[in-house]
Amino acid sequence: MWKFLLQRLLLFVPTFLVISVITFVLIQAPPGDYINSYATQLEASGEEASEALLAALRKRYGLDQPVYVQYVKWLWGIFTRLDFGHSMQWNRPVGDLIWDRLAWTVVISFFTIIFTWILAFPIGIYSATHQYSGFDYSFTFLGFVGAGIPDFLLALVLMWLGFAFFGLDMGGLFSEAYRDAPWSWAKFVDMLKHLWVPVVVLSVSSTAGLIRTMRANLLDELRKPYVITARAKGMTEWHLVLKYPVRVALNPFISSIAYVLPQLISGTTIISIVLSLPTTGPIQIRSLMSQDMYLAGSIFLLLASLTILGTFISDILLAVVDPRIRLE
Amino acid sequence: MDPGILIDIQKLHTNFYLREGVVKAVNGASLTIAKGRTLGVVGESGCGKSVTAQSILQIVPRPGRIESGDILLHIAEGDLDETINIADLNPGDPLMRDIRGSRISMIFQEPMTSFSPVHTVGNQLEETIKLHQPDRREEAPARVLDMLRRVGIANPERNVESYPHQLSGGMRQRAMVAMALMLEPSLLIADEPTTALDVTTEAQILALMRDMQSQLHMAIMFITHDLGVIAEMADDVAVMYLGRVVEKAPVRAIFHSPKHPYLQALLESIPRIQKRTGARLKAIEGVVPNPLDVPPGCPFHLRCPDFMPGVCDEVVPTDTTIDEGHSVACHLYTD
Repeated sequence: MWKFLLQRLLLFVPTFLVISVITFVLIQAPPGDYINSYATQLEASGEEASEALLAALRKRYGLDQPVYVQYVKWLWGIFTRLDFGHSMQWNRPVGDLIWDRLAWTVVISFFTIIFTWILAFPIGIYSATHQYSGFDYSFTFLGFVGAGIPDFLLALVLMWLGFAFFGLDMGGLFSEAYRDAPWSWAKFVDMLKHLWVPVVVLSVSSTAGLIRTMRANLLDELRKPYVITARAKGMTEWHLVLKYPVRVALNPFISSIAYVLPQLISGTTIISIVLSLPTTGPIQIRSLMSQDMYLAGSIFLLLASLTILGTFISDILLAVVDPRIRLE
Repeated sequence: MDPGILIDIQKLHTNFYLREGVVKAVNGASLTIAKGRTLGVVGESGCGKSVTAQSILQIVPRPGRIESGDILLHIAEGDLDETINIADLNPGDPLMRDIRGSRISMIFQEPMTSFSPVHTVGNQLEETIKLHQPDRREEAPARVLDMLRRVGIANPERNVESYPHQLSGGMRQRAMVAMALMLEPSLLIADEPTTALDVTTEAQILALMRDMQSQLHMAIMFITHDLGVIAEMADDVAVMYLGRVVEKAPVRAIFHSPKHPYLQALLESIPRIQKRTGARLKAIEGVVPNPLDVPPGCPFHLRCPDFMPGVCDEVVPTDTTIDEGHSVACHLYTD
């Protein structure tokens, strides 16, 4: 067990490095750099961007050096000083910009996963044990509708409904009154009142997927001979379904953490813009458009790390749940 | 009811309601299982032998259901003397759950998949005690160890903590036997328990079952398609064809004076080492009819060498007694 965990933990390091290289190369890949887009901005506003000024800026940000030197410097800063570089667009250290936003991304993703599970788990079990019942068909239908609706559209509709019928402003995470207030119980409650919108919107499609996963897995397991064995022992139907096939069907459910997390995080980007949430999404898009490479690179690197972390967590949980994995 | 009888099945009908139609998996089967004896149930795939066994435990998988008939279970313990008709109970009836695993238990063909892969052997064996004797749950671990020792599992203290995939096929089937015998049932149903094992292991498991039978005085319903295993294990034999029991007899009579043309053909189709080389193996003509469209009259008449037109294809034959304990359902023997 410990050997297994150590192996997984050690894999973390090369994966992180590979991701950092890919991120950096990809962000450098489009022609030009931040200085070019800055120059275009200046010209658009009627000012002249002299070659000397641009060259000076390039030198200041280290953009005149070869790519690999920039990369090593950036990574060295992260490892030694947790310094993610300087955002050229905001003229502030990247670290100042992203930690809060990253925390919100994590909070929203966490609540969404929990909410997804709370819904998908019992519905999936019921659908499988009552296959082809009215309930099963209804949720299959709702599930496909849920998976088919674009989430930004759902977000817009919910906002409109909230505004038109309840006079609520459901954008953002806080009401006017609490936005800059220090943390208090009332602020927390206010947050929950806003949080449910993105959580519901983001949950819809992954819930639909997970219900299908749970239903299909459980249907496979319910036909296995060990279920008949348990029944022949005299167990009650619910007891045996929950103890045996549901337990085995949990495996794919748990491994879904690994792919639900990146889906969620990329899904949050658009939703955050629509609902004006303080997550990494909006600045991520802006940094890409202006080629603010340290900011964009750092966001991608951190989100990718979260994904690796999700995989790691799901590996641990799988090992806990399934002895066949643990003992290999 | 004859006090020597444990299970008396009369005209059992168990149907599967499929979209394509109704499959009469068990179509009026009657048989009895005597206390402390082994009944071998033999027949080819799809003849209804497993579904008969599942009916006894009321664990027929959906969309199957017992349609009619009686399954009488005779319970006689001390002052208690009662007969329960299992066919009248619901699958979910608490009384039915009491019977499963304590009075009647079952072992299966696939020792690998018949255990949950994610629970230890010990956990799954103790469960039987915890379910049926909740007030004696503290004794469970000790009793499991004792039973594992009795079925010949080496190092039970370690193996009780093992997961099924860590045991060999033979060990798993031993553990399965231990689980079934934990509460000393009066009937053990064995549904092709050695089909998935190699011959050496098969011989060991068969020996184990006979040994446990002599210790616990239980009856065994042994389901197989292997006549060799029947010869070795059974005291009495019931031969099934297409949902019906076509011949019932003590094991000697089955092999020495088979009456039903199906059984005769079945015995002739066994390859024999002594036979001269070059002879062709006899096979039964034709194929088993489509279970959705069972022919009228005797189910075997389409393949029968002694087919009598006007009789066999019109009237379902009833049991005719040939000898003490030997009966056959065939028009050749009716007066």
